[in-house]
Amino acid sequence: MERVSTNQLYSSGIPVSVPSPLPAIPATLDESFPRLPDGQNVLRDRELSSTTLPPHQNQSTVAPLHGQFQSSTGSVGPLRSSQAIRFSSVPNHEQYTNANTYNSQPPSTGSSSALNYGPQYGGFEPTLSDFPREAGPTWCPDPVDGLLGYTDDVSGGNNMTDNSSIAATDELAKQSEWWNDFMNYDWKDVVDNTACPETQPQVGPPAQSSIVVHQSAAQQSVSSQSGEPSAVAIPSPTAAGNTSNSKTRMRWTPELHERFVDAVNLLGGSEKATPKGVLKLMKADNLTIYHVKSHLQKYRTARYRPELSEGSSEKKAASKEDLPSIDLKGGNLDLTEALRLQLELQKRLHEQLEIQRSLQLRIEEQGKCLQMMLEQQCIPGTDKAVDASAEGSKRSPDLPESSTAKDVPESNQNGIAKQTESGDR
Amino acid sequence: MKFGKRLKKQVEESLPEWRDKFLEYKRLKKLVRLISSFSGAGDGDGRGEAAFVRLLDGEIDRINAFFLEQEEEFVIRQRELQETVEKMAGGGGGRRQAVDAAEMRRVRKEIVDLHGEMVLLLNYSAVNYTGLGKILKKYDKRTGRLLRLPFIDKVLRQPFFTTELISRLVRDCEATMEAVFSISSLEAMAGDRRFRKGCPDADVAEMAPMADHQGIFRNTVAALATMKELRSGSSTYGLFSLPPMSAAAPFSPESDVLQTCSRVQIVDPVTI
Repeated sequence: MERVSTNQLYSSGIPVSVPSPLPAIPATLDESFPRLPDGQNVLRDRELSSTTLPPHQNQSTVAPLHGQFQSSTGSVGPLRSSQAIRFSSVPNHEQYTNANTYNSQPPSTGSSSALNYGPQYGGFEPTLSDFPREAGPTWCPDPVDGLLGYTDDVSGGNNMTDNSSIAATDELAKQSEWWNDFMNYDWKDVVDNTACPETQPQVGPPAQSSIVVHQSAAQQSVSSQSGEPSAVAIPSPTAAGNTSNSKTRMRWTPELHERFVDAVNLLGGSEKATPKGVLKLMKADNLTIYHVKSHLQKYRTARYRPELSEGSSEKKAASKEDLPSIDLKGGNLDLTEALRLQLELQKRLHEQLEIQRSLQLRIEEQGKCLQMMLEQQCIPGTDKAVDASAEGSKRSPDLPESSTAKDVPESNQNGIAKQTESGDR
Repeated sequence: MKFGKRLKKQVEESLPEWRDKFLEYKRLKKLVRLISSFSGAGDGDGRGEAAFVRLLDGEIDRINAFFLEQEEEFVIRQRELQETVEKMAGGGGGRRQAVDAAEMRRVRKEIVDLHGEMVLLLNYSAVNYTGLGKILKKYDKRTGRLLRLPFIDKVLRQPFFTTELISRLVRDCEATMEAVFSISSLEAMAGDRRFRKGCPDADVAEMAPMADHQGIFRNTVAALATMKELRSGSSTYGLFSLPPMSAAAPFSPESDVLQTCSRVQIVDPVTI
């Protein structure tokens, strides 16, 4: 199972940091894969060296863990890591089978890559950490090679020969990551919170549901202006793939914040209020103690600074002036005028952004409609033709079958383009 | 590379804390190049695409995280400012004189700054969206695959692109601004006049927010300029390209404002 890419990866010196406690895994590797010494040793070496990492680095190590299983297990093979994960965390066992069954279904996008397009569609992983930014240009060839080399091994792998193995492994890696975070998380805050048992089941299922693409419901609730907390659905996969499982992304609307402030005031102010108390008072679904805690922190900071300057401005004499940010050549600008200019500019930018955004939405919508129309007409090779003409009219004619159909989309394109422009006049 | 360069410039001009939060366009481009050279036109069993999608997802996650965090802060600050303004205005005619001039100026500045930051967040969202669209287009072009359409569909539904809340906050902010600017504080106006004479007295403690203030202004100018450049005409004009900016607006008053700004010299804050 030797692969050149693995050696490349190991010698590339990429600082793939491995999170500290993975007690189950080395032992598991020992018992499961005694026959494969090299990669196994390397894997264990990496894990052993990781014990020096402080637990609070959990945030940055999550993805690297992922990265480890992905990019550094070149010749070790995915099946090893995946099975190791399976053994080390019982919940993941069921999830593994779920992942497997899901991945064997072709994704609905129609993309020919049946690989892991489906689950990846809804799942987000900070895999950019696989390519550490500090490494600069050196990162470029090696980790990707390693990554691609890794996936090479996957397809050549032993037990799982179907394509779903890669996706399944990704899911597993994500879940192992999640599980690892779960283990690593600083539980002392949670211990004295009655919300603790609530969070566990919340974090547990999300890792499982990360496989399923469930964006629409939450996304729509996000744009609603209800007072109910809209937990973005992304958190479910994010819980597995993001820095820590507690950071399921909560979208704080003004209404929700208002409820928060009411609760805080009832408890005697931002200094006196505790996250636990606020959470209880708010009685909001999907809201966890972690959300409240971080929000309370932000709230305190926001209130503290104005109070600071308020007090100081009262004490100090009126001679203390605020400089404007802009200064006309040869003369100081009146503060109000400076502010007005700044404001004007900001308003202008906002207006342009709004226009641009609605345009973009409309363009995408029309593009989709066109695509659907052409698909319905069952014109052979038309989808490619649509994108070919859409993406680059300068594209080389390497799609002979679309040459005849090109006329259709092009005229449509002009029509739509005209539509777009005329719609703005 | 044009977009890449512009993105880089935009990032450089942006607020310091934001600089590493933008889309890693260059990195993604490298990956696209690698994939297209590694596997040729055909991507075998889609390994390269899998890696690319993973990277994109990671980026989206990062952008979402930053966006949501900023959004949360803005919600908090907006409410606080609103409360402050209400307190100041709620005093009634008789108490208006009691409003501290410096306080008034501070609040006004804060509101304008908050407004600016929110608009910059919208710009952040737009820039990242554009970058994603472009890199997906590149990918499709290089590999002959059809990743762009479905992926963009996903992007459109992301929190960082569903910016209705921030837009609403911006408008609320503008409404609050009406209130605060209408509170006529005679002392504030006198202070302004005094200031016009070039009173250099400035408290050091106020300089820190000053720097931020300047960053916002500079960043806004840069954002507008970048937007104009990006929209000035595409070499690969296609079905999904935006029309030039001037076509979108019947007149472009921003050019007037921008011209004014070009004459304006931004004073660098005194380093503390």
